[in-house]
Amino acid sequence: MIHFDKIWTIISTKYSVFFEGVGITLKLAFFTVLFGSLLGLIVAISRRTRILPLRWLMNAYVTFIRGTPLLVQVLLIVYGLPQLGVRMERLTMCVIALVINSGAYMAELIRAGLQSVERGQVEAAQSLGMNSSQTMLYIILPQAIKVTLPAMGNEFVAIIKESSILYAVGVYELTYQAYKLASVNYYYIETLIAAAIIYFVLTYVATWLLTLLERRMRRGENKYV
Amino acid sequence: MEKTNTFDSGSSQETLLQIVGLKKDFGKLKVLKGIDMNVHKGDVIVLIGPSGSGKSTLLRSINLLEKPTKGKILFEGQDVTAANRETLCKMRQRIGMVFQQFNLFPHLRVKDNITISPRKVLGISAQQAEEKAMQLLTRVGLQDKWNEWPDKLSGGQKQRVAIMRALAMDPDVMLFDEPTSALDPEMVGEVLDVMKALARDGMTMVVVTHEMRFAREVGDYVLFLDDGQIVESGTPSALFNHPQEKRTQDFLNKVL
Amino acid sequence: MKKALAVMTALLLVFSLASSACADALSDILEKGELVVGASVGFPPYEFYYTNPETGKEEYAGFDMSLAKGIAEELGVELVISDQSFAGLITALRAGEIDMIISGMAIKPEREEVVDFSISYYTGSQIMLVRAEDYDTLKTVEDMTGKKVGAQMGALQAEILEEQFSNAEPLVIDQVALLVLDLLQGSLDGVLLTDMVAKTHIALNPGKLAISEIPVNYDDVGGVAVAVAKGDNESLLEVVNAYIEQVTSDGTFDSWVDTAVAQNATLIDTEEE
Repeated sequence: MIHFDKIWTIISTKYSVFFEGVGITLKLAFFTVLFGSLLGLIVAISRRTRILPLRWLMNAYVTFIRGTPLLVQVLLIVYGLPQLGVRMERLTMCVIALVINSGAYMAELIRAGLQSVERGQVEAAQSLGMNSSQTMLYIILPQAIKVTLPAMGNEFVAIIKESSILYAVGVYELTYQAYKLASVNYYYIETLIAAAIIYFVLTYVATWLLTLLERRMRRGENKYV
Repeated sequence: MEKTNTFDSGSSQETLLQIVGLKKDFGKLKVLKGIDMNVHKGDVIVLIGPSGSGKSTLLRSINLLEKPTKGKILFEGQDVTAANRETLCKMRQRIGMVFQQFNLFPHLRVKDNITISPRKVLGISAQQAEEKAMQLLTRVGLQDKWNEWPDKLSGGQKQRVAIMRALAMDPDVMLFDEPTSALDPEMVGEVLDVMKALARDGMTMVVVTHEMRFAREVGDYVLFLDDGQIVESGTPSALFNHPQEKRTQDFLNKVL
Repeated sequence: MKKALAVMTALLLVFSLASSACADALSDILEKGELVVGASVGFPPYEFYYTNPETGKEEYAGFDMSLAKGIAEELGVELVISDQSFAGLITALRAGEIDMIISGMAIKPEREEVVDFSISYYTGSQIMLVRAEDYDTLKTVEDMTGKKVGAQMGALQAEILEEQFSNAEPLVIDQVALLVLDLLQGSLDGVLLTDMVAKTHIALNPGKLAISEIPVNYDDVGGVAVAVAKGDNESLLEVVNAYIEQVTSDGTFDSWVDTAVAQNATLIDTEEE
């Protein structure tokens, strides 16, 4: 039996607890997307290099991360790094794990973005005497990133949800807070429903904001995307 | 019997480009079968020929957008095909190119399309680059498009901006790869006018085109290519009025 | 004799109730022929997975599991173990997914509000597990100020952590094994555990861990007990209580504890090979 009336009581009386969780969840998503896209960018560009071992390494990284579950990666980082003598805040380690995970997915998104830039753009840049890094920096990347931006927004929304598995290693994000509440109030389902509602509001609002942003960017006169 | 028709305008001006025994294969397909030609300063050379004749490939080989299978290309005495990447970039700065599809940078406004390379590649100050860009745009009557995005321009306007973008680098030679083929018929004129003016000012030009009128009016020399070889070459009047080779005659009968 | 008597009364009760068409918790279990026990397996020596060296099969081991088996046998039904996270056990019980919880669950007033407990079968004491090298420096509650202390989510220790070690930096997660790993790796400075569990992990990591002198107070008045859903459970509790009384008084329970500790030790040995 589910006590639906309890759900609102749980949210309204424990909102400060949920609020703390929401804060950490959003912080995780923000830093993950920020550093994840930087990592993805570096990886995506490295995968185009002529230096074969580097390319292989990057391909292996992307394949490995995409082929293993996030929770396993998190546990490997959180319990693997200390084994190697690396000491860090748990939250920092979790951000690292999320960034390493997200970087691989971002690399794929950015790769697709880079590939979407027409060959003629590169030829035009070359014919103007640009070297490969100038071509990448001034011509290909700005266009690729613009194509990739909506997908990066989706990644932000995805990480809001996926970061929930960090409850398993004791990061005080939203799911953890809900789980902890449930373990003492014994309204397990009701508390989880409350968390689900909060997650939904978060992702819904984030998606809506991103759509606005995207539309605004498109309106920026230039509709080549 | 293999044709080894070579071309040289015989102009007394210095030789800018020397193409020696140029061959290009795409897999088993032999696109260029041995081209020898010299381009002197101030020459306006028009390449004509049926599609698949190799004329675009020849043009694109000059700044190494296509890597030749065999042969040499000397630009101002330096071998383009043997250049390292840095030297190649330096050479390309001196060889302007205009593409069929314009290839304007869609993420940059008109002014930035023109100024980006002078600024980032040549290291010219923004102010100087913009002054020059404004001069160039004014020359083709597009000064009011200064702040416009490329996708707001008509095809003819895009191609004129593209020509100015190449000119902003102060090239010694300009390559045109079918510059009017992607244009609506009513816009061809405005682009050809810009090219004519450029030729009149003494720019060295190599032009691949289907516009026979342009070849006749502006070209100093016309080269007819077929099957990866120079079949025939000469002044426009000689080539158009008295073609010697049967293949040239057949081609001209079709297009004129 | 006592046992037989208890079962007899229980059965009598069941039949009288069944005839009045009002099924209670016990007759439910008897009717379906199985007893579903919820436990968070992975809490040695209370409950853990043990590979029987003779059969090579994985079994549920630990004194909680022995108690569960005993109760099922007593009722003459089949035992089904439902392995769940500790924090979710009470919800599962209330939802009717499981018939009882036997998972080292201590009797606490808040829990008594939502479930009913049997009499206690075991009273564990709560301790702070630390790294052996810290044994001499971490001796008081004050010593733990600013230190990182771990406890299992939803467990008694999590509350102790919050109440008595509010100056410490808490880490509350599901898996005791991970907490101990955190402690060994230095990500934690102490882990709150019941003494039994702590001893198991000390045995698992010889020379590396120690039970500190830090006093841990708790109002574990009732000790560890079997939890059943509220409602018509009198007859079920009666059987369970009678059984617990029997095994704790005749030494059976102590032998289960010994077996559990021994099995856990062989587990450690085989893992080290």
